[in-house]
Amino acid sequence: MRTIKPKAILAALWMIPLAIVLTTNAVAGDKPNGKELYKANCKACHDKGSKFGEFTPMTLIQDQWRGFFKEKLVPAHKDVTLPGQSIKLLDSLTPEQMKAIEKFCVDHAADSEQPQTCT
Amino acid sequence: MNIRLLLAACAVILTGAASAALAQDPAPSHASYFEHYEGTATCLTCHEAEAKSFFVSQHYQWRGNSPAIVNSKGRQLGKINTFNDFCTSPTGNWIGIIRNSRGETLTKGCSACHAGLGKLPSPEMSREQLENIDCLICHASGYRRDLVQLEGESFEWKPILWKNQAGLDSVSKRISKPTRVMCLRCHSASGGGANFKRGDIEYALAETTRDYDVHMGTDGVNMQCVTCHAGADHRVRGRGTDLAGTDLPGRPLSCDTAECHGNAPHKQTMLNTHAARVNCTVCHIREFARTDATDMRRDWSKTVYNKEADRYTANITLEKNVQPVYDWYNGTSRAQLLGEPARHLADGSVGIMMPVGARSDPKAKIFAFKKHTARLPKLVDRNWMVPITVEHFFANGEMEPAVKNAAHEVYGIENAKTTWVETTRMMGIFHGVQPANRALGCLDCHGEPGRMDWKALGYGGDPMMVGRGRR
Ligand code: HEC
Ligand code: HEC
Ligand code: HEC
Ligand code: HEC
Ligand code: HEC
Ligand code: HEC
Ligand code: HEC
Repeated sequence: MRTIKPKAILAALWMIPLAIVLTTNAVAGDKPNGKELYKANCKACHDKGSKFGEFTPMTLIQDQWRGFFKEKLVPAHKDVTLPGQSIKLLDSLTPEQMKAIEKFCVDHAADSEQPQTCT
Repeated sequence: MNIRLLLAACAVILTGAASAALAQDPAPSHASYFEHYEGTATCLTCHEAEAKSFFVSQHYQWRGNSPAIVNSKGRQLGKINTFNDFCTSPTGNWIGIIRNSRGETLTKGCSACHAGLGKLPSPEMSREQLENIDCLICHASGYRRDLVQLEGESFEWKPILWKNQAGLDSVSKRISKPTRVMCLRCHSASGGGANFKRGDIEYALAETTRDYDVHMGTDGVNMQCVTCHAGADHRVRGRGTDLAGTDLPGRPLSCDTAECHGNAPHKQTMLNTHAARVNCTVCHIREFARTDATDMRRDWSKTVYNKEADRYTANITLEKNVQPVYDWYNGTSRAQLLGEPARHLADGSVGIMMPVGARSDPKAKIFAFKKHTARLPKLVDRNWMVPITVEHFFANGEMEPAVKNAAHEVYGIENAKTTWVETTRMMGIFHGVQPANRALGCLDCHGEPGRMDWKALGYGGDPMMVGRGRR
């Protein structure tokens, strides 16, 4: 068991920069832009000090985001509507757009890698 | 290893055997060792010996034995008590959040690259100091930290997941020997930005090809930093040419020793005879800063305001695909230390960290360097260099108080009068070796114009033309 572990950890680690490259490419094309969609559809209710809880991609780890989109997104948001909108949040987003938001959250999750800059 | 560690290891072998049969995705190494991560204390329950070894290392103390510094006079040196030509000195810059007029964070202090949680390292070992070690920064994959202001004026580096215990528990159990990405968390962004300081330790090395780096390419031998640098008891091998302390003096790190390539790795005798006086890196690292531009010059006398970031900086010159410069080096260096007379080089600049060696020195070889220049303050009435308390300057752009404050902190001198002087620092280039077909050819050095400044290196002219006898 100990012999396979490091490999798996490393394999997972190296996917992260790759994944980031892939998203940036996606942004350049016609695909939905997860970051912009997140800003437009999630931030209003989950900004600093929000009564629904503060959430940025960095609040959760990748597994938690995957679990959230699979199990909690719908029950927690089935009745919510963005301020100033008439259509319910979940009805206003296509499955493709929701996938892009999920990908943005996962790629920038708390356990994605980033170097420490000193200044 | 203590008893607890032994017991834990046994438990893992037993449970491990059972779960291995089921698991597709093996559990993180420390899944069964603890329930909740409660800071370094959690690791100390089993790894006190490792914490104690880390505590005395250069990585924690930022000072240590400095046998390679010719003017160290037996002192223990390191980042904590020397200064440099990047952000100058941790004195007065250790920790804290400096914000711009828009309230955005500009800097968090030099402790961002210390493997501690924010307290200054103390030479006295104590429980508090051991708990200050940040094991996760070198051992946990997916770990990230941020500076948090505690009550009052104190600060602490905390995992960004500190409010999400389940997430933190997951990350803190993904323990392994350090991978490249973990070392690069600090080493690739030192000096203020991606690849600013070293030039040859780029974030690109986290995931790269053999074509980019024959050692670390994932499609090749896929070496980790620790494959070369791991020493013993948390001491790392290899000081390079411009750091003050030598963490593990007994086991230097070099390409040409028997454990790696030996000193005659080529079929062509001509190349092997060259290797007697030309270090391997010279022919095998053509250029550095191949992905991110590196800081080649930092002029603190000219400040620049970046409107977009609402931030002041020194005037920094960045360059990409830089050709190294070449000089003799015998394994020792001369450091310009604080409170010691500034030594001017032939070109008039003050040498901050200079390799020692000459053609006439049989121990010296020609090495490849990044030559970093800067302008730094020096006292007018005493020939001493002065660092800069840079943190507040980033927000307010006021250089004079930043220099005066540093003179006060370092020398106890009030209202110091200073002048600007030119400085030079030579930084060895050791990473980013490309495949052999990219090595320098004869004409790269012996052609016109070649890379070597023969006169400056002490030759009468190109030794190939001049011939053996008449050099
Ligand atoms: C109109 C307001 C609103 C918008 C827009 C909104 N949320 Fe929520 N969110 C809520 C509410 C209400 C809850 C439930 C809070 C609670 O139960 O305490 C919630 C809960 C959550 C939670 C916590 C779930 C849990 O139980 O752990 C997450 C994560 C979350 N939202 C993410 C998102 C994301 C991602 C988006 C954008 C796709 C989004 N939210 C958009 C109102 C909103
Ligand atoms: C309950 C005891 C226990 C705790 C708590 C614990 N460890 Fe370990 N650790 C072990 C054992 C047992 C090993 C395996 C020793 C071996 O194989 O030589 C180990 C191995 C390691 C290794 C070597 C990993 C490798 O792949 O070779 C590192 C690094 C490490 N631990 C760091 C930590 C850190 C950091 C913490 C705190 C988050 C921690 N440990 C907490 C028991 C523990
Ligand atoms: C600056 C990076 C760094 C920090 C911080 C660090 N370590 Fe290590 N650790 C290393 C290196 C490098 C090795 C050697 C890896 C190798 O041999 O391949 C190592 C090895 C280990 C090992 C394996 C022991 C062995 O002999 O192989 C353990 C256990 C360990 N560290 C625990 C800890 C604990 C506990 C902490 C916090 C108190 C800590 N480390 C902090 C870099 C670090
Ligand atoms: C928390 C930030 C941090 C991490 C993580 C880190 N380093 Fe360092 N490292 C430093 C700093 C800062 C110095 C310079 C210390 C000094 O000169 O006083 C240093 C110095 C070194 C040196 C020179 C030692 C000497 O003798 O002067 C080597 C080699 C090195 N690190 C390799 C590594 C490797 C390999 C890893 C991964 C296991 C690693 N570092 C992880 C911050 C870090
Ligand atoms: C193939 C071996 C090898 C690998 C892999 C390697 N290094 Fe080095 N490194 C060296 C050599 C050789 C030196 C020069 C040592 C000396 O002369 O004291 C060096 C020097 C250093 C220094 C001292 C400062 C400097 O730049 O001169 C640091 C810091 C460092 N390496 C960090 C790293 C990090 C971080 C990694 C992983 C990304 C890494 N190294 C991977 C061989 C290696
Ligand atoms: C004067 C320039 C020069 C110096 C100095 C030099 N090399 Fe080379 N090296 C070359 C060239 C050119 C080649 C490609 C020649 C060839 O393919 O036969 C090469 C090839 C190699 C190869 C690949 C050999 C093979 O058979 O594929 C290795 C490994 C190597 N060098 C290691 C080293 C080491 C280690 C040192 C220091 C001891 C060193 N080199 C010093 C120029 C140099
Ligand atoms: C990295 C630069 C570099 C490269 C590449 C290089 N040389 Fe040299 N060469 C030198 C230096 C430096 C010396 C002086 C060495 C000394 O002081 O012993 C030298 C010396 C010589 C000499 C004088 C020999 C002697 O023993 O006095 C000859 C001939 C020569 N080189 C031929 C070559 C040929 C042929 C190649 C290509 C295979 C080559 N060099 C590649 C740097 C280089």
